[in-house]
Amino acid sequence: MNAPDQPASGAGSRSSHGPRISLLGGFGLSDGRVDIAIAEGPQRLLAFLALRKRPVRRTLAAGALWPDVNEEHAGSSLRSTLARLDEGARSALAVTASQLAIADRITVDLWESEALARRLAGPHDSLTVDRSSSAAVDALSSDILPDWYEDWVIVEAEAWRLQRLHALETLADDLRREGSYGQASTAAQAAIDADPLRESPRAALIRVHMAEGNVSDAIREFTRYRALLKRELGLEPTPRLQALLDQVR
Amino acid sequence: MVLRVWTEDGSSEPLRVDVRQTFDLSRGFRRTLTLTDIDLVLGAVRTFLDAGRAAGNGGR
Repeated sequence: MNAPDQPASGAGSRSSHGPRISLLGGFGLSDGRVDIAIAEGPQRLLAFLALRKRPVRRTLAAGALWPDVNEEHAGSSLRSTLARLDEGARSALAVTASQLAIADRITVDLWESEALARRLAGPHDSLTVDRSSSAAVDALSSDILPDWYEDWVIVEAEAWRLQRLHALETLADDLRREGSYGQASTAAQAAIDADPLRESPRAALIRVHMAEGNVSDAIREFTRYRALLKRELGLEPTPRLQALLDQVR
Repeated sequence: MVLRVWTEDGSSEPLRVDVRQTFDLSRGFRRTLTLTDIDLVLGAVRTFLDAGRAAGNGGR
């Protein structure tokens, strides 16, 4: 299995060569050239293992994937799913008598995007990824398996949502400082889309507009956010956000 | 029910709680709201638990 901490050059690109599992924006399995259609059961198994990132005991996988039945029944369901795997799904798995994992040769889009987010969260003057490319923003713009509501998905999805939100804000600030205002604006907007009520992504977008000299856009964004906050929570933006705008008024 | 909590430092009401709830995960979350008041959050949790108990289905 590929280590999740490996560098993510080209993170977010959907054109990576080789077999690939996608979890961001929805489930997908590809052999590197064409998508492979697999049934829902194998999808859940591959998604579970890809989210765990490491080899998982069969009993643990069975318990998570079939939580409403006893251990024996869950184990039987797992064996049945494994026995009926088609070639595409089978080749994506590393199976032993006691453990299951994603096969070494498989890449997972989430692993690459998480690596990018981690590097953005730390000191990254020498970040090798092309931060001005739209690929970096794309890599941070999708949720894990939207419309999947099982416990083992929700917990990971929430953690990723927060991680990518922070990374997008950092990316927006970096791109703004470099003068890449268009991409900075896109990154900030993606963070806003992830959490419309949160103030920090709005501040990031307002700073982009101000750096670009678009005072009217900055004021419009502030006004839009204030209306949303008033409507949803009956509150005003913080004085800090107000002060940001006061710099140009 | 999933509660997502964060704070907006400097706000007059800094607490934010996203509340998502459903009694049937196969249909997704049926209701999502954001609250800023602890008593309202506790009320939402109590209402959810009461509804789950009344339905006798141990709502999740």
